[in-house]
Amino acid sequence: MTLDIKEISSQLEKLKQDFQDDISGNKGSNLAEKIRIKYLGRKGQLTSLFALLGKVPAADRPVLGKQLNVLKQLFQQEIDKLAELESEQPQCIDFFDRSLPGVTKETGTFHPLYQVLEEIKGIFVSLGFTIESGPELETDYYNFEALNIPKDHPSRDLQDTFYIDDDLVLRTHTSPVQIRTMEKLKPPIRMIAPGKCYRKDAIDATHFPLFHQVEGLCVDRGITFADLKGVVEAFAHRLFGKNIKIRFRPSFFPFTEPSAEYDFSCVKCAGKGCNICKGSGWLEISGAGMVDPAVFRYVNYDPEEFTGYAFGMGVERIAMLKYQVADIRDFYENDLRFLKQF
Amino acid sequence: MKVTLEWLKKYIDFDYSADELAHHLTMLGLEVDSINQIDYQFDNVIIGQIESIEKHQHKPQLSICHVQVGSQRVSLVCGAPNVIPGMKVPVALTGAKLPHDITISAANIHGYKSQGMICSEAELGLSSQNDVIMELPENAPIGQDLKRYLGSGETVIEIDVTPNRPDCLGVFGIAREIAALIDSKIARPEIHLKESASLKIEDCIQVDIQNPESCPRYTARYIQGVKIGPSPRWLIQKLQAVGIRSINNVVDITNFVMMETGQPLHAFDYDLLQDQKIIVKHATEGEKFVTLDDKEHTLTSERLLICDGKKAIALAGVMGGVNSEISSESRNILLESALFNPTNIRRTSKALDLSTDSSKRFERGVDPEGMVYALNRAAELVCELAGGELAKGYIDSYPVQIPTRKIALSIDRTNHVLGTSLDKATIEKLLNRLEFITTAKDNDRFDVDVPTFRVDIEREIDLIEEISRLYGFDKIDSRIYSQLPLTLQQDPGEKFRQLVRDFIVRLGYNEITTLSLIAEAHAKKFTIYRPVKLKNPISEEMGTLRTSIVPGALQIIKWNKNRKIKSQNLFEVGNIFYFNSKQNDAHREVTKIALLKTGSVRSNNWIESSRETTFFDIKGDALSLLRQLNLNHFKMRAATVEFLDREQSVEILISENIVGYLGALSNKIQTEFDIEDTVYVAEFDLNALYQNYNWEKISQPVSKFPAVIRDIAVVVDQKLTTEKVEDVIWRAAGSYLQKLILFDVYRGKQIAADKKSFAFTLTFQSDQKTLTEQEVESNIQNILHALKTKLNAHLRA
Ligand SMILES: [Zn+2]
Repeated sequence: MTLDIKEISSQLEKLKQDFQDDISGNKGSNLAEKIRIKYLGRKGQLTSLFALLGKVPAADRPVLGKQLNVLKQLFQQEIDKLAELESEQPQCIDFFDRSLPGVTKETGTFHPLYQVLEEIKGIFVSLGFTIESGPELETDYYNFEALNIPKDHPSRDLQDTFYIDDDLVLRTHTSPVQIRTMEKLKPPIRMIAPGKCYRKDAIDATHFPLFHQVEGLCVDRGITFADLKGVVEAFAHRLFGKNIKIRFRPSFFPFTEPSAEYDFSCVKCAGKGCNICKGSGWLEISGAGMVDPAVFRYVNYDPEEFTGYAFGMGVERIAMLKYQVADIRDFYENDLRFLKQF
Repeated sequence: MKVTLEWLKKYIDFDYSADELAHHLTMLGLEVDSINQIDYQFDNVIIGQIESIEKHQHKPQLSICHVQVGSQRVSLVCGAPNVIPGMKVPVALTGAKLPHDITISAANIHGYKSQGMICSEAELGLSSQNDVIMELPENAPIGQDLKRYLGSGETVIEIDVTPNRPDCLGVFGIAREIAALIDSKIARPEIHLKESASLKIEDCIQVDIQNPESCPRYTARYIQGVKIGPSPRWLIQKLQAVGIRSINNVVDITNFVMMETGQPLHAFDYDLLQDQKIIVKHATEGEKFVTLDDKEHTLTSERLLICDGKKAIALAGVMGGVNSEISSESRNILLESALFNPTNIRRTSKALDLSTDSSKRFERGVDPEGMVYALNRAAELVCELAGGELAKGYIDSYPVQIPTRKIALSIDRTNHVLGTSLDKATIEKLLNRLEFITTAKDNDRFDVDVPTFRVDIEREIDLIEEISRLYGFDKIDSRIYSQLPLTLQQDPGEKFRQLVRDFIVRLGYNEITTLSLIAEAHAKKFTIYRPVKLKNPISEEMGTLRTSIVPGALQIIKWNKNRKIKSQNLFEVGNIFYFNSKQNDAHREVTKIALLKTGSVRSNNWIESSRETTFFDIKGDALSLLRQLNLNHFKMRAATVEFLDREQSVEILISENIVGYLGALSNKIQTEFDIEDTVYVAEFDLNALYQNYNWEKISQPVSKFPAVIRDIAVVVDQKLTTEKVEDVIWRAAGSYLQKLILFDVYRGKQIAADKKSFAFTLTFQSDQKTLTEQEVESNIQNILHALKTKLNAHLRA
């Protein structure tokens, strides 16, 4: 009687599958030895297949022989590996200890600043804003001039700037993206520009030379200060909840007029006064205002036809409030014990 | 800008407490930073009256004063020359506290027992007057606590004045804001000057403005025969409260009037001026000048100088010269109250790094009509506090009249910007309260005359801001404007960045964000280009823009290692910078993705032991990322970058462009950053990946037919790369080969020493039919044949 080599091959295939299942299956005690006996023992399943060699046509013998040998080697290697593992392992012969620790995996995390930034972006995208970006290495024109901050003007003192040369600076705000976007598009515009900014500040608990800002801009016919208040309130309520109160007070920025600072009622004490709000009940968030007509002239918008509002916010500031982080440097130390909390 | 509540109340009557005032000013745009009560630094000092004085027996310069303090009569030893019977004086008895933590105890002075002391102003911390006893008014009640008698100290309010409001750099300006709030008017002190009949200003000084574009107006007064000396207590107290040190009566007066009016003043020692002349002109290029602070400056022709007939005597609007300074010997003085061009003063202040109370005001703009008042006010105070004869008249050189401003304001426009519906009367009233004069032109429009002290108001929008500010932002109802299109296009690049970060986090990496400013030495090691250096860095360590994310991230690895965190997977997506020498040295800003891995890939647990990270782990993570992004057509080749290990590194190319690299850091870098365990890094160019990314995803049907799996082991030359073997297999196999996995690499006793064995699992499958054994076997034979002929590879026995 001769056997069809094809049939034996598929038998081998199945045997290999069974073996893989056994070896990767539930760990019992002395599993390696049990599996060795099952497959490679004197009466083992693979061993017995070698006996079939004589029963296939002579021409097929070398092929089958090779297949059997490859398989035998594989089985032996796997069993050896398992045996080695078993010898190192604590044996739990007597009972199944379900309280042994699970084997956990270290998962990745997003940086807390970017978690907050994503949340801010999400809110504004849902309010119909687009996300725009621009370079961190910016020209004097975009960072100052076109934002109505002329050279030799005291308003330049509002920010301490890092200069590369007379014309090139590290942007001090993401407001230049407003200008770049308005140059590119015609109204209506409703955008936010998130990104890194730099100021030459001495490093302390609330200052770092690098920070992240989100600047918003909306330009169309009929946009008013009331719309600015509306959008900032909507944002605050989405981020910190319905109970947050928002306060606008007059201020000065060269690129907006009227200009305002806006404050949120303290997220910790709800306005009663605590250490976070220094007893005032209010937290200064950032600046806002109606786009100054002078800025529109730089981008060739007709200030008689269009009005707009702009607002800013610091991501660090909001993250510090949200997570009650007292020191801005925590975000930049990147201590893994800190990062993994978020 | 510091003011005190007490000072403000001299010009405007209001009932606010300091806290209430701070709130109202803040809501008006004058943000109050702090409120501080300046208290007297003494305690338990009482008022006494000297009844009689006898000379000390042995020390004639000492007197023994018998003083009535109400409840008792005490005898006090005193060394001051000005004590006379009947004088009311401050008395510190045993137990009283004086500044510098002094507590009075009974003392024996040259055999005479003193029960306390009579105090000078200096001893009470009230002024620097230390040679005479402080004399109190005749009606001061004997026995009363001195603190109660003097009343409260000063309540100092510090205001963060924005650059557009120079008018609020004077107490008048802030008082005007309060007046607008409570709908009142400020009362500036009335000035009564006693001018000399014989001494005329024209005979004393001539003023010549040679550069009127830099000095539009110059006013001056002359006072003869003043007595320079210490200032009275009230003046010192006011100046100290707002942070100005007392110098002498004349200088203090110029500072006081500047703080009051916002107009900087300067006093010259007239006798040090030559030719009785003031000439205002630009410096000659390279001219040297020594300012009051004893610093010598080399000037350019842009700098404006106040000169006499022969020499420069002041750096106009910034600081006086040491050569005409008021000293204790000065007898005759010239007071200057002038107007200088803001830009000119700012440039001078910046160029010479010299910012003064005066330059800060001039560079923001002072009231062109305010200088004569300030001049007269100062002259009046000098005559009152330092004596002297005031020359008749004053110089007012005003070559180019500064026009007053009239602005047209539309009510419609106002409401259109603010989102309000204010009527004409309301708007008019708000403007009038701020001292704007309104003239109605028609139903919609006003002509508005701007008061001269509001140099910031030039346009209609400035008026609209004034209206909104006084009206109150809180009274403007907010509105959610929803008529904008909701179809604005989102930037796909932003979405891609998000996608990449998501994938990397799924691979188990922790996102970091590091400072883009690093040391130049570090920046140079990670680029072939010229790094971008800051002109004005905080420090050398933060003096250059990063050329790679890696050096900054290595600092983080070190930080965590120092905290016993050995295994770290970190990533950052951020920009790097350099000058591109191939493109005209243009600056470039490129977004990079950096992955860093060190320590073990798996922590020790009771089932498995830990394993150290290898090159193939970072390679695997990088491949996983590329595959997740469906970027399968990349190539790898030996990397050429210096900071990577020469062997354990590759660069990654997509269509012949390098898009990234990965590998182990070189030993040199490891040593320089002082990190012991090998750090593996991968850095990609985000934009290059984005350019090759395909947003369109079209589903492919999965095969319904069974897969056939075969293992083969081949023995090849030690030096042959896996890539080559796999390449031969793929080319030799037909289209049925779907997957090729290398599952073992063996070197050892069982094979020849110059050989190695690769074991592969091959998966064959067709989406058309079930493959027959013959088909698979013939495929395998083709593969083995090709391996043998092309690579001299043999099937392992
Ligand atoms: Zn609070």
